[in-house]
Amino acid sequence: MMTTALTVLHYFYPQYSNNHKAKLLHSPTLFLLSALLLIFQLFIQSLSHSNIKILGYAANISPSEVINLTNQKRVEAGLPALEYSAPLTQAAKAKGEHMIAQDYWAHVAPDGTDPWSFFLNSGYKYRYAGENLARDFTNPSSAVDAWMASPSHRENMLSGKYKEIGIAVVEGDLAGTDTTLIVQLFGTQLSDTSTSVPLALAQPQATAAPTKLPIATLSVTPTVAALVPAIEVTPVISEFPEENFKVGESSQNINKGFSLLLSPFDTTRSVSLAVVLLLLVVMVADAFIVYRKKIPRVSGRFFAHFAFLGMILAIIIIVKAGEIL
Amino acid sequence: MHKLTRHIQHYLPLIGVFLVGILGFRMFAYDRVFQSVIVVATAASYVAWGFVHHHIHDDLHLSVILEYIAIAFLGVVIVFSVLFRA
Repeated sequence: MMTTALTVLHYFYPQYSNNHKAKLLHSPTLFLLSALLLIFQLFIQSLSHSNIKILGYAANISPSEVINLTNQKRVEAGLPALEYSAPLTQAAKAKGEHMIAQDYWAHVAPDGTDPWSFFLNSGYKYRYAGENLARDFTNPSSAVDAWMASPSHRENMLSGKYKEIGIAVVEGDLAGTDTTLIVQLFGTQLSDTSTSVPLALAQPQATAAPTKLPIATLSVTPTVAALVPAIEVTPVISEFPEENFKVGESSQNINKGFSLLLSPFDTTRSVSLAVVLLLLVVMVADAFIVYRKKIPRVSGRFFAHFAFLGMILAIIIIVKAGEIL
Repeated sequence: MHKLTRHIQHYLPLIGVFLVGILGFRMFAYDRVFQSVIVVATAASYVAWGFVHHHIHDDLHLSVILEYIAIAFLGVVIVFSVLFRA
């Protein structure tokens, strides 16, 4: 009991045994702590490669909500709302299922399948086409907000070139973790000769991958350039059957192994918060004791360390689950 | 505290770097790579600040520099862990 108390004091209280600096704040201990955190990450990673299922993000995302939010952003930007397209929805579902089946997170599959082939396979002959991807968001508005914050994704969402939208929410196992993917496809059919932007603005732009336009874009006839119809701001809320574009893998997962209720993100965040808070508390106590006892020692500046760890704490709090592509 | 107020001109740039780091991290929430660069740059600035500050005060020792590096490394490991699990 006494030994335990002395060990605790040695790690948390500046005294003779630790050269008047809490052992936890010594450089070797800090490096050891970093190594332990890395090992912990490897452990979480190894779970996803084992037969144990780990919980990713049990998101309840409604595709119709994503469409409504997207149209809301368009209307706010003075653009016409997009119409629900069944073929685009089918294409989005196929893309999501392909990502799960082939285990990739990218616009272009490892086998070279590009996003545009899903449009064509679902019978959607496009004049313009675009794709936004999101994963692991806990609600539709977070995903839409993340897309809006990214210039290239925002450009897709607020492009006057697109007339139709298709959304699929696909749940499945990606790299060993339960994942919720949102596939958002935009398009204008080849037969649609009207456009709400002048041709000059509708040309392919040298921006990020999601705004890539297919070769079909180049076949726009010059007569289209003169057609700049008045922008409608009435949102179109279509009737879309939810079950048609929400895909899950739960039935397949049952036989894959037992489930461990562990969210890699939440667990990592909790552990990180605990480590940083512990260090901040020990640091404050250490500085206070050394100041009160007027102990001279060679050390870094308390305030600099405290401010740096404070920044790390703020970042841990700021980071949100979810990724866009 | 007395040291802090006496050397406020040393600490203001450091606080500025940290605030810019937090702001940048929030602004580029959609770009994981850029967020990673921000964190590494901020950690490097913190170590550089420590080096210059202690050099000016004639108390630059290997143990002090190692202390800054250890804290910076730990911070980067923590942020990367959270960032790439998000």
